[in-house]
Amino acid sequence: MDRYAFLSFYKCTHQVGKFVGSDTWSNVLRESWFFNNWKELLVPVSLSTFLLLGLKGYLDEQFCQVEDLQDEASPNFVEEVVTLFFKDSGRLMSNIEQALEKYPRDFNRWDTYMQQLKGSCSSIGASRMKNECMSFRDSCGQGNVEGCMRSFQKVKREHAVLRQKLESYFQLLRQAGPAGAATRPVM
Amino acid sequence: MARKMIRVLLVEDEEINRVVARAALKAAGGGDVVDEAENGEVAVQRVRDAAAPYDLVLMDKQMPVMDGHEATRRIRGMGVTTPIVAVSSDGLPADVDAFITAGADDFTSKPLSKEKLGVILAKFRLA
Repeated sequence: MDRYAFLSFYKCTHQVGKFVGSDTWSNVLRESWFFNNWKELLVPVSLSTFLLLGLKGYLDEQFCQVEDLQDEASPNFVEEVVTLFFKDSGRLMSNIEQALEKYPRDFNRWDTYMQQLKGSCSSIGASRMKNECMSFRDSCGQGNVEGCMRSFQKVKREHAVLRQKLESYFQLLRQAGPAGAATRPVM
Repeated sequence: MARKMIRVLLVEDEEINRVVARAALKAAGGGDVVDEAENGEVAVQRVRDAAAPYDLVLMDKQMPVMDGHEATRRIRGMGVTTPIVAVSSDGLPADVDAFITAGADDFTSKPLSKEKLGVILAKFRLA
């Protein structure tokens, strides 16, 4: 993935700019390591590395570790792991939702489910979501029902944002063609 | 001389963690044969019924049916000397102590990565 990735300037600039954020994008365009003519933008980093700018704060180093495990033998490894994460986390969040509605309050059960969800977040490096899981567990430890409910809403919100961002990330990678291939886009 | 095939038992209830750990083991050079167990009870059975002894057991802490502490105790109770490395997301001193008391040789935190597994494999001379 260390070969140059070519982006079609007029096809991808808007999408990529929207994805990584306008501030980041305008800074990037000023950087000397970007060489562009009116048609093309030559990015001397892998496309996935560049697109990860848009996920900064949402994902940590572990996501890069997972990316490093992708090879010719398993070219879709990252996407498969992420798909598995959303399947797992969806199931666990559904379990938590049901447990939160039950009486009497079972803080141990809530904590067990949330620890599993936190573990899933750790495995793909979903740092913001993991932090909210930890807040939930803190509230659990204090027997704070309101705190748990509030934290769970935040967990759900972070989950939804992460899903949307990762879907965009993989969509842009797919549009660029084979991962890391230094091919010019069809005009 | 041909390199010895490394046999690892990966004990973990969450599928996503098994998938990532298996790939990381392979990348670290210790994934020749990786058997999986989704809880401690299955792990004890796998160790007992193994045709050849495992070179390494990676043991999660919190699992349904039987947790990692109990599974480690039972495996050691069978006279098995295979290195057991405890894996936990918390890494609290009490966790580490409980695992060491149960018979684990080492402890590492989640998530498992190629680097962490490389260190473990080197420590037990498996890489």
